[in-house]
Order: sequence, then C-alpha cells, then structure tokens
Amino acid sequence: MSDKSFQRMINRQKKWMLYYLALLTLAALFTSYHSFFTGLLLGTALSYYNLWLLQRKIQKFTYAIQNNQKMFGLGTFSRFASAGLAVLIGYELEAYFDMTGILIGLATMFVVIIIDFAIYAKQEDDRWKRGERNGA
Amino acid sequence: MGALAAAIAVGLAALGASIGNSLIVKGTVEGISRQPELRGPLQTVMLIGIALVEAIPIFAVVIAFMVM
Repeated sequence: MSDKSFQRMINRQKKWMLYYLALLTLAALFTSYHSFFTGLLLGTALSYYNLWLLQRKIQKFTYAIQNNQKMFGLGTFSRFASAGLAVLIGYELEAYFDMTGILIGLATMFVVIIIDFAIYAKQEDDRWKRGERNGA
Repeated sequence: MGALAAAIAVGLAALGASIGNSLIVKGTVEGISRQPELRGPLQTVMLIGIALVEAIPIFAVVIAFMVM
C-alpha cells in the first residue's frame, strides 16, 4: 500500500458517495416520499463534506509530518458543526426534511469507508507486496 | 435541564473522541517519523480510525440538539 493507493482509496470513496447522492436526487424528485429523501439527501451531502474534509486534513497532516512543518487541528469541530447544522436545518424546515432521513444520511460516510476497506484492503495489500518484491 | 443533558452528552463524547484521536495521531506520527515510506498505509489506517472514532461524538451532537 503506497501513497498512490491512498489516493485511489479516497477517489473511490468520493465516487461512491457521488453515485449515492445522484441516486438520492433521483429518488427525491421522482418518488412520493419527498420529505424522507430530501432529508436523506441533506444528511448525505453533509456527510460527503465531512468525508472530503477528513481526507484533505489527513493528507495535509501526514505531509506536514514528513516535511517537518506545523499543522493546527484536524477539522474535528468543523465536522461536528456540520452535523449540528444538519439537525438545525431539519428542525427549522421540518416540513421539507425528515429527521430520520438526516440521521441515516449523516452515517453514510462511515458505511462507505467500512465497505470500501472491507472490499479493497486485501487487493491493495497484495498489489503492494507484488510491487515490493519487484523492487517498484 | 435539557441544556445540561445536552452539554454532558456532547462533553463526554468529545472527551472520549479526543483521547481516541490523540492515540491514533500519536501512532501515526511515530510511524511516519520512523519509516517515512510507510506514509500511505498509515494514512489509510488513520483515516479509518479517525472516521470511526468521530462517529460517536457526531451522533452525540445530533442527540444534544434534539434534547435541547
């Protein structure tokens, strides 16, 4: 597993989240469960933001360690604030966003990360070992 | 009382997450300092670890807003 494999992993995670967001948009537009799907869409969109922020901060953080630079924070409070924002929007616009949908949507990031890791971890590991043996 | 419950929920969850995150970051910093070529796998482990640790406080924030 190299730095390239990390880049591949974060691209894959973002790709799955965007596919899921596209599906949810279609579901919100063309089904009769508007409130639930718009809530799910809001939660998933903020979850996507959380995932993007986490990936970006971790990349910057490890780069800073390697190059003896300083880094302040990993964006934890921004991620908490985005979850709070989702709930506040849900409460203020109760008629449009279902709270259950928002909660499920916020958890999407964790499901995507775990499933991606479960599927691709062994494959990436094998690829790294092959590369190491070949001296790449 | 609702505000107090919300504060305790978020505070305790954030305390747990900060301890967990600090252990993960400590491991990553030590690992990269010893073997900089292992930055890729360590980044991956750090991403997954921090995401899972932060799941609890994120839901604690949500619950706190609902309780208030």
